[in-house]
Amino acid sequence: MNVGQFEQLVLTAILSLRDDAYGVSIHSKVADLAKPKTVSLGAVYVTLDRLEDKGYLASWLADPTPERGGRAKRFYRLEALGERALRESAVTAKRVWQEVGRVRGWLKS
Amino acid sequence: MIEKLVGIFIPPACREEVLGDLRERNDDFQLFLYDALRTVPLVIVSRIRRTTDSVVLLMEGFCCYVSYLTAAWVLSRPIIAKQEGLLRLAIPCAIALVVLMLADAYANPRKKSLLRPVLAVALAFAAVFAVHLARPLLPGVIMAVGSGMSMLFLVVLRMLFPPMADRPQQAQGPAFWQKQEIVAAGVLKVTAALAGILLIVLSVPDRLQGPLLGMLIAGGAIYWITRR
Repeated sequence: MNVGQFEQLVLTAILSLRDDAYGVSIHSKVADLAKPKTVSLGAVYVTLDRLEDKGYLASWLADPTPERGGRAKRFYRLEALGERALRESAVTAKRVWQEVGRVRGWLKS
Repeated sequence: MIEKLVGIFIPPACREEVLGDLRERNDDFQLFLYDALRTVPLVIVSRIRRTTDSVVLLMEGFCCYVSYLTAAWVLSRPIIAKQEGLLRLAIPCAIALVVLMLADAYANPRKKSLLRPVLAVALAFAAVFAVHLARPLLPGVIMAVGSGMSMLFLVVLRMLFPPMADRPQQAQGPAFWQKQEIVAAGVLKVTAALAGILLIVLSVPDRLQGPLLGMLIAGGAIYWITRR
């Protein structure tokens, strides 16, 4: 169950947005998390598609809204498999961070 | 107006949400266009990746190439003996496969049709013949017989392995489980790579064949060793 760094960002964004996770809101959250790197909307779509194919996400079309020119939003929700993948990658990242901190002595200060 | 124009390029399966997102992010016409130019190519590539089953595509490519090769072998053998003969036979196959990939990506999953496999194949070979009319790819008779056989093979293959958009999807399963890729992708990809290398090597002048083949083998060996 491997997720890349950008996939982690997208999964985290969806987790934190809860019921409001759709293209624009996910992109803006991922852009916040990825600072100072810039993130394109297209890259977010590609990752969302890939994560959905892997079974980490589920998506559905909502009703059209007037501020989007009568176009519908596609909402995303984290599936159990996605939550597990995110938890595993977070545990790995934490372990790496602890090791780096131990070697460099950052954790003492 | 510009929104409709951009919408034409976005595959129907994701047109609604992508156009809505672009509209929500950009009130200004120029910003909308700039954002669309950056976003839509990635959306198309992603859709192609989702709808293309590489194993089925390889099978289609193989059937197509064998059709043209058989037609050339039976009808005009000297063309195969020529320098770029084998590579020329691959050109109509490549055009047909690209059109088939695009046809799958732009298929509307909400509109199911039993005729879709036949229509996609017909569209692919219409494109092949359009290119052939503009710039002849092969002698006419080889083109006609090869295309006829290819169409027959491709329609049968597409009935056996329908495009991803037409396959019934299970409720809670990841979409890629339905692809043939997870069965034997490695073996088929290596076979396709070897066939491609042979095709290229056979098409270069004789004096360059040895060095090129040597370089490709060395490159392959280095890749294989470093990968392990």
